[in-house]
Amino acid sequence: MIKKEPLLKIQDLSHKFSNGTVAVDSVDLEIYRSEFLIISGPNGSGKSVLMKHLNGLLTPSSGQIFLEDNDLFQDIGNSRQQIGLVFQDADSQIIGQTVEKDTAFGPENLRLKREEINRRVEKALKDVELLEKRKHRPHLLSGGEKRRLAIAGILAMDSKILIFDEPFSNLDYQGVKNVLSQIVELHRIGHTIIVITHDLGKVLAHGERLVIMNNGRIIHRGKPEDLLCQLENCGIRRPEGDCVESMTWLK
Amino acid sequence: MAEIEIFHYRNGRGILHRIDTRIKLLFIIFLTICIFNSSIWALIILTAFILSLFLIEYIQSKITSPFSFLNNVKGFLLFLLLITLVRGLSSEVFVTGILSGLLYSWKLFLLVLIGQLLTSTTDPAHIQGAVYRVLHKVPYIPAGTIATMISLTITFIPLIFDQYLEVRDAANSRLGNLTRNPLTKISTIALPLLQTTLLRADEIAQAMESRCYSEHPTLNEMKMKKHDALSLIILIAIPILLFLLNKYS
Repeated sequence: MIKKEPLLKIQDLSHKFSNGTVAVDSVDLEIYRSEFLIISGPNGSGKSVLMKHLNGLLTPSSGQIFLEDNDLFQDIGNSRQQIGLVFQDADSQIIGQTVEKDTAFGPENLRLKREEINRRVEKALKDVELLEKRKHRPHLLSGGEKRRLAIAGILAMDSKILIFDEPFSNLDYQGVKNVLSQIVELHRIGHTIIVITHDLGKVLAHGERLVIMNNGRIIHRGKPEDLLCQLENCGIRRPEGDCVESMTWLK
Repeated sequence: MAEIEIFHYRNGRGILHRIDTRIKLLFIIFLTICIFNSSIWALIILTAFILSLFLIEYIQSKITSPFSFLNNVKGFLLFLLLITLVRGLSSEVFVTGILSGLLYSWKLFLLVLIGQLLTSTTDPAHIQGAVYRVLHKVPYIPAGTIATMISLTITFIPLIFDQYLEVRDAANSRLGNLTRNPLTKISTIALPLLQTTLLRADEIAQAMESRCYSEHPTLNEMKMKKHDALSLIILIAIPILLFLLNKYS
């Protein structure tokens, strides 16, 4: 059930690159507390660019974003702490030289006390089942483990909203299942989840709301079951099956 | 993923891993000064000392085998050979030039060895903490910026090597290795490497920003222990020994 209190409010947001390409065009979107939102669309539809605004990595050409009624860019440090972003390429998100050092990167930047950092790192690694690999080199982990390490990195920052940019790309079957069950569990314990993907067959059953983008605009939004028949017209593969509940890789 | 084993930090429990990073940095500075101001005899002693450290690290932590290290730096060894030859050919007496080139190459090789010892046994985050702690009391010095730059450089040098291997393999998979022209060969590798490295740097910068990157993060705890005191004694003893050796040999 979608709660009515918006946590994030995107108002008339546009982003134009210096070469004139309009990546995001007049987007209005409200994201509610503890909801599971899926944003889909073909390559180049503006999904990732839109999400980078939520983390303050891009500033809009026009429009505004509000986090709990406050301008997101007014206190960018707090916004980044509240909104964690898991990148499409997990390798590019690795900064530390061991699994635990990488997880501690965010909390260290928040200047928390060492005991608190250690506590958060241990909990986050336990949550993503990487505790026994805490001393390993992150670059040598498997694809699924790297993705879970990226999740641990934002969990350790105590982020409320978690954005996953194409979380299943380059993962094998088991890797997808592990990452997906992690995302579902994070939603269950109260996190607001935003998943950006064009591969709906793996995750659609878990989404409470679906937003479809094309050419930088939101062209459809609503419950997943209501938008199933629109998918192919929007350049997105419609998952097999008639009921949305079956559209998951978690059985 | 392809991987070159040099200049990568490896987690371990050896003595070099446990020495305080500030002492290790002082060691590096002292050893570098000593290497470039040593006679042949002093250089032999320094080489023996550095090789012993290298072997101790290998025995205790099993992380950088001497053979794989030599294999990974064979390109650098060829470069040293080239330096030696150029010195020989540009000198009035060929043999004197070659000997001077060998001495110079020897010193450069020792520098690479101590660089490998530092990077393989020290987490860049600890280097950042150590540099910051040393510099932040010096007025007008942006300690946070310098510490971050040093730490990032040490972190990303091995990633550039890894990237090089991937670009090279991609080129070879499409028969890039059959190209005879060295200029074409270099541009085949160098341009994509530069491009991917810059893209990677941009992605990593974004990843750091998204995790609230700060030049003044919580630093790692550093406490001097008994073995650090012993290291400090060795640190002081080596330059004195080398000075005496230089004076009386």
